Amino acid sequence: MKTTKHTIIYTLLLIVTLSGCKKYLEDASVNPNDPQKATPGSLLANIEVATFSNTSGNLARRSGIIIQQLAGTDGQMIQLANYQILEGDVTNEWVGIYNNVVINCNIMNADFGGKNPYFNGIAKVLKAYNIGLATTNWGDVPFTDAGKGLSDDNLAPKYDTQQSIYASLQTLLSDAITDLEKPAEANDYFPSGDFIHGGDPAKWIKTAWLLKARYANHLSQRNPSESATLALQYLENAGLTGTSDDANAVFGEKGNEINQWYAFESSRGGYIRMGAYFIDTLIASNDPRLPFYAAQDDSGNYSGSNVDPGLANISASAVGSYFGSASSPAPMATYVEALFIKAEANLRAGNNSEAATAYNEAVMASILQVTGAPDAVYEANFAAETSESVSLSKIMYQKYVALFTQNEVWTDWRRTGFPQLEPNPSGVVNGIPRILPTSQDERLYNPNAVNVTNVLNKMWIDAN
Amino acid sequence: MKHFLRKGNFLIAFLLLAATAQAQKLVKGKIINEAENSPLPGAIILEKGTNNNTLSNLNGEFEIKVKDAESILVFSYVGMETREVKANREFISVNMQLKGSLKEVVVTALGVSREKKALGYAVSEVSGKELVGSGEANIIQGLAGKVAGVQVTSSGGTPGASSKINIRGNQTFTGNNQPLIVVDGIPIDNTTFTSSGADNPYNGNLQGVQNSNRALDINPDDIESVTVLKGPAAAALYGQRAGTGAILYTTKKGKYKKGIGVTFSSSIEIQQVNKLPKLQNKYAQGYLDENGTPTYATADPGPDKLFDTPDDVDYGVSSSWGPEISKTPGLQSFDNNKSFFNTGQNYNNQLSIDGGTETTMYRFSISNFNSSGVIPNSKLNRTTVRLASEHKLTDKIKVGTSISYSNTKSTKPQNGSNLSGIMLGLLRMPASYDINNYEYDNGNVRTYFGLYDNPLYTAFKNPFNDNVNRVFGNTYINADPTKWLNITYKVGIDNYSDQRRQVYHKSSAGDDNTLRYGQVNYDEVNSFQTYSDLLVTGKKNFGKDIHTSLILGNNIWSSNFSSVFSRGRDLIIDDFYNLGNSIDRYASNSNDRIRTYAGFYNLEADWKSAIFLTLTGRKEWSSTFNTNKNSFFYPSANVSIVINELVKLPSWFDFFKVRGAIAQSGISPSPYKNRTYYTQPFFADGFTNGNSFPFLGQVGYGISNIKGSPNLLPERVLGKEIGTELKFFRGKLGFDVTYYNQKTVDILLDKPVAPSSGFKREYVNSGEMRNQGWEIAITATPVERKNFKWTISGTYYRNRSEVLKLADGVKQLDIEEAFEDVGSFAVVGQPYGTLFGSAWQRNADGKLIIDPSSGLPYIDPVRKALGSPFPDFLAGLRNSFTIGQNFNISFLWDFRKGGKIWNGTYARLNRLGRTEESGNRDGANATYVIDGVLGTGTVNPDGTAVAGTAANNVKVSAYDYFRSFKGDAGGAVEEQIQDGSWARLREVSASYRLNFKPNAAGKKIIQYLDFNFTAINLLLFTKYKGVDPETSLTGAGSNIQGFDYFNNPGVKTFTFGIRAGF
Repeated sequence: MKTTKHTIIYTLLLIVTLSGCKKYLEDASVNPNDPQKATPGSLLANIEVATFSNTSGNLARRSGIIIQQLAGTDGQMIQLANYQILEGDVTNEWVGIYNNVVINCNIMNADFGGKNPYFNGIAKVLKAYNIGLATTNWGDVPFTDAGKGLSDDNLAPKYDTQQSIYASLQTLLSDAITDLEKPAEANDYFPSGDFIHGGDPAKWIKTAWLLKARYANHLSQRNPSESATLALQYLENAGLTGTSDDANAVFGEKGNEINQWYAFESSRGGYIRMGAYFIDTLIASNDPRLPFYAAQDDSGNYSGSNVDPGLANISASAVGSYFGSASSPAPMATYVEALFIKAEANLRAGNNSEAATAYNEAVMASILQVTGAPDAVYEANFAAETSESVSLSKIMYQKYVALFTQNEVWTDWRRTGFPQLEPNPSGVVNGIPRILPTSQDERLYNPNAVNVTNVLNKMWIDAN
Repeated sequence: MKHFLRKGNFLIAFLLLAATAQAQKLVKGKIINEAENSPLPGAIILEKGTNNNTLSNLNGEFEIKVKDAESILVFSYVGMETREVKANREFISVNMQLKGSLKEVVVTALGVSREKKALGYAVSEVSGKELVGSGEANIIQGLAGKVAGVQVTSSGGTPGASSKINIRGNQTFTGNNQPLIVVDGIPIDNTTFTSSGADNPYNGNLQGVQNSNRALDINPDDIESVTVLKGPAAAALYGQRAGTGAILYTTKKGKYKKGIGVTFSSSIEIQQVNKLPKLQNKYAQGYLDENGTPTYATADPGPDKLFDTPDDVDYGVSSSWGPEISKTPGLQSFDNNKSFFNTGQNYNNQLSIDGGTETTMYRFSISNFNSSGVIPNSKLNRTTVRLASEHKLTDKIKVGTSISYSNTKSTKPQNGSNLSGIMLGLLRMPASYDINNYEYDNGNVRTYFGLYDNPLYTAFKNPFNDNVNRVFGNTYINADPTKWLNITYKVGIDNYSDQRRQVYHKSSAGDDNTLRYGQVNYDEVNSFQTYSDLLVTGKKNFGKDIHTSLILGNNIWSSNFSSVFSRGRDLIIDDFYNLGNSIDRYASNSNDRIRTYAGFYNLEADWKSAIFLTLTGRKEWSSTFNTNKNSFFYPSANVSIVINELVKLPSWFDFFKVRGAIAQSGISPSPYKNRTYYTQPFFADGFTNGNSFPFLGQVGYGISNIKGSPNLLPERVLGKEIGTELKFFRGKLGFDVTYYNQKTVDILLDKPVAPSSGFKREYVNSGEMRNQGWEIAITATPVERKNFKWTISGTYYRNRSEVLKLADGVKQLDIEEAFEDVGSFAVVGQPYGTLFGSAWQRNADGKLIIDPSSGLPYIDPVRKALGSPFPDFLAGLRNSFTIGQNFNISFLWDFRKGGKIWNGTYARLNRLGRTEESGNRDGANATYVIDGVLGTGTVNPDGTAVAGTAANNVKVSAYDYFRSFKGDAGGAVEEQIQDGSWARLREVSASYRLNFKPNAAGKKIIQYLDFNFTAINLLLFTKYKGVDPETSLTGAGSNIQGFDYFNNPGVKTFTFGIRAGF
């Protein structure tokens, strides 16, 4: 039959055509847009810039408002100032830590770590810093299983207790120090893509010890004496000599490189103003840092907005040029913080004289760093404590001022209760938030998530 | 040629006239050539069963005496279908159609023409005349309200704004839900592409401009007819591109043996904004000071006339909570909306030449559409040129080609969530501010609030321009080597380049990082597709009653879509938009390639032209899968039973067909989703544009947030449908009813995973969704008299979608990144695309729980599904009247019931004290009590409030009420969801035809003149408190539906046109 014959001929034609087709398809299946592998330098650059975002982004804004250094005056910041923190409000920050940093640190360790201990050590320090942010904001969080969706196909990490996380952070940082202490010859590549310490392993070792001291000191409520001893020992090991040892998030002038305080005021002008409590105490104490921390208000003075956004004053001072310029660095772990930890730990250990000395040095170092010059009058009043006069409240207040914009201040307040703050009376909860709710994505997609909804819950380190 | 034919007729007529018969009843009438809508002279009118006959005169008119009212008149004309009409009226109007056309042939998948009664699935057709009559420049928008089963959503009334079309709902969650658009058998690109640099962290659809869907490049006047293939059964032969249905546009061709015809048409359109939110004009810009006193404040950038500089005097406030304008010295109230909007003007000119000889037919057309929109400086200019021709090489072999060139240029205004957005700056603008004088003498923006651009400034100084040059067409060879065999091979291309430029003038806050240093973006977009198919058709009859036809074919498709984006920021010289003039430069590019090939068959069989069976199958290989398993098979089967061919029905029951179909078609994965890649990320938290690479001279790569999957399958749409077609009273009443049930399985989705795993999403085949619904079309001719004819056509369409499954443990999924507060979600058990956001806390009776200290309701700590943005039903009703011989008028009503819209505009305007309602803030209206029960003041640890029993009696000020309850300063999104139902008079069109008489020499230079008038959206009834609810923030390039956040408004249009036939 003719039809059959044609069908056969046609089918043969088809087969001939198709044999060239495999290549035709494969050619188009290669992705010209994204690579299938990275380099350690590009991976580190990714980890660091992500960390900068975590340091100066919404976590910092939120803690600043909670802790009344700042006031929410418009937009979503009003809800925050009213302590209305919903599970959907925290997802970006959670993602910032785990998706942008932790998994890439794990990839660095697995793919490049063996032959590049410096890269590996830096990535471990940064992982510890970020997990530190996670646990101080959310309490129990994934650590052991975190960021293993690629290597282990683990898409539902278990949550570790905060207690075990603090232990693991110490181990991780010790590992990092071991890596960073290896000889230069042990490295295939010397670190590039390091904006923080320019690839200098010695400075990273100092930062690692400082973080060990910070995390040891966080346990002040749980283990007052051991936490003090360890913190002091770690600080000793760190051997920080000045602000040149600071680990800072650094920024540039280009639009995609700008400091996020600056970026926020540019695109969300008026959403955040300086907090009334903070500004009022700075004014009352004639603090020389005031014009650096705060911009002038609409009348050319310095003023803060009320803790209650119902009384918001959008004309109050914005964040000043010291932290809020396009390329202002944002501190992550600094010499000044080390001195305050030293003061607090010594005081807790009963070494009041060392506490007073460290405190005085801390205040002076902060003023010098911020204003560029000592201030004799202020220092006579606020940096001249003795073993008798030094107190936790003074240390913590000055740390509160010196560490303006840093998430640490909120952690300190929860541990120590200083400075003593009055909650926003219009808040939707009766008190100042002490923990963030579990991120919505975790509640929905991680059967192992430990769900927190009440922002007044206390986390393990917050035992006072 | 015509002349010759006419002579032939006269000859036949002469022979017939030889006989005469007794006649008693006089019947008059007129014969119309339906295709040309012109009188048909020389047609033969014969009384059946006799030799009694006559001919129609030059005006198509005739008179004949017949035996009685039971006599049958037979109308015939060479090349036309013969018609029989009962002589039971005194005046009979007869439309004659070309041979073949009476069979109701429709174009089906792969361009195969089939008799409509043979089809076992629903198809809808729209004529080119209806498409053009809609007055819409976009061939997608022109289908609105005309087809059951189809929802068209325009994104606004600005020139070139995209129109989105969904057939039988949405079939996939995050993939492309737009149907395949096919022109003359060749699929074309209908992408709606949003330009954005790879470092833009947000969904570019939420801001920027309303981009065009590229079907815009087609001239509606070139379209002869449109077939909508609604379900998988109809579209199955398109395989992995058929899951969302297909729309086939067939273009106009010439005609063999026709001679030459010239048509010229010209129209002018006038456009106005059809609806705007109501605003208060009583209170000035300002805020409540610490004492609660309304205080006036407006922006003053200081001597340098630039904001965010040290000499700024006042940034101003965005709100209108200031003092009463009339009581404040120095202030007056302005109607800025009136000052801002223009009357839009469009000009449309068309010229076509068509005709044919014995062996060649051709049609050439050229058109220009020039539009200036209601928003100042918004415009569109489209020029198209097209040539279609076909030539008979021999009696058995034809070759043809059709080629189109189009150039579409537009200037588009800023839209949506955008500091330089038109409506954002305009609607928020306080009544106390005068929009005019929008710039200072140094070229900087003059505005009321430092962060927002003056909309006039942004219209003129921040334009987006695109310039699309497109060539598409096809060439084919068609051979009939024997009577039963046909071979057709067709190759088509579609290629366009889209050159785009977006500028932000120095001082505008619209630049990416709000630094106001000026910015220019370029985007070079290129789309290139090639397509070929080979169809071998064999026909065979088995005995007298069984007819079969088999098509075997193959098809190869490749698509390459690329964009090269570049951006310069910090411009040195004003108004000079060259990348060289910038300090901060960035570039990124992307390239998506898809290639497929397929083999297919299509087997048709019928028994006595009464029972039809069609089986199809397609095996398709695609580059979007992994190489180990990269081919899939898509089958379909459908049956049509024409009952009136089998059973004798009452005489008034003309036609009765039942049909059923079952099929499976696919939806392809996006390219490059079968692996996990590294990406150059951006780090942003939703408030700023964040940080991205290159950063301080370094490039960073991190693992993608989305885990790729090596074992992808296509999504499969399993469609079942049954339907019936009924015709009564000689076609005066007809119904076409379809019920369909379509289930998509293996839906690909970026399944959310716990971010602590290091991934946000994993691309997997796991979703399921059902769409089921009814499509009903009714046609009726209630009155048909000599000088008056009234026809009605109606459509009704309801679709119910239900998300059946997402992925294990996943109950909700945002279908596309949206706003932090509100999203468009797939939620298990809910309709697709449901609006999702914060809700109020309610007690067991559903009453709001009110915080006793503030008088405001508590917000539920968990976000909720807040309603479907898709309508309960859509209905269209067209009433057409033909008065006399030459005047037509028709009214198309369009109804939409339901369909929620998130009115973010209204919420923000409430918060800013700008809505008309928020003007009720003084005297007796000063306080509000929200309906609800008082809470006890206790909040549980999970954030839920404890409800009391007493009714709320706490008064809140207008300020708190409109800001924090009706507004978005703490108000739940639930409060901002509004019903988008409407009744609109979508189209009124009237036309009058003037036929010309031949001159003394018997010739006509002008055959006819058509005068027409069309009004679009003449009336709109809706309770929606915003712009026209047929609006879309995100446009056709997005699956989000029902978002209104400072969307540009809709328009009503009046068109006056004239068409001349030569």
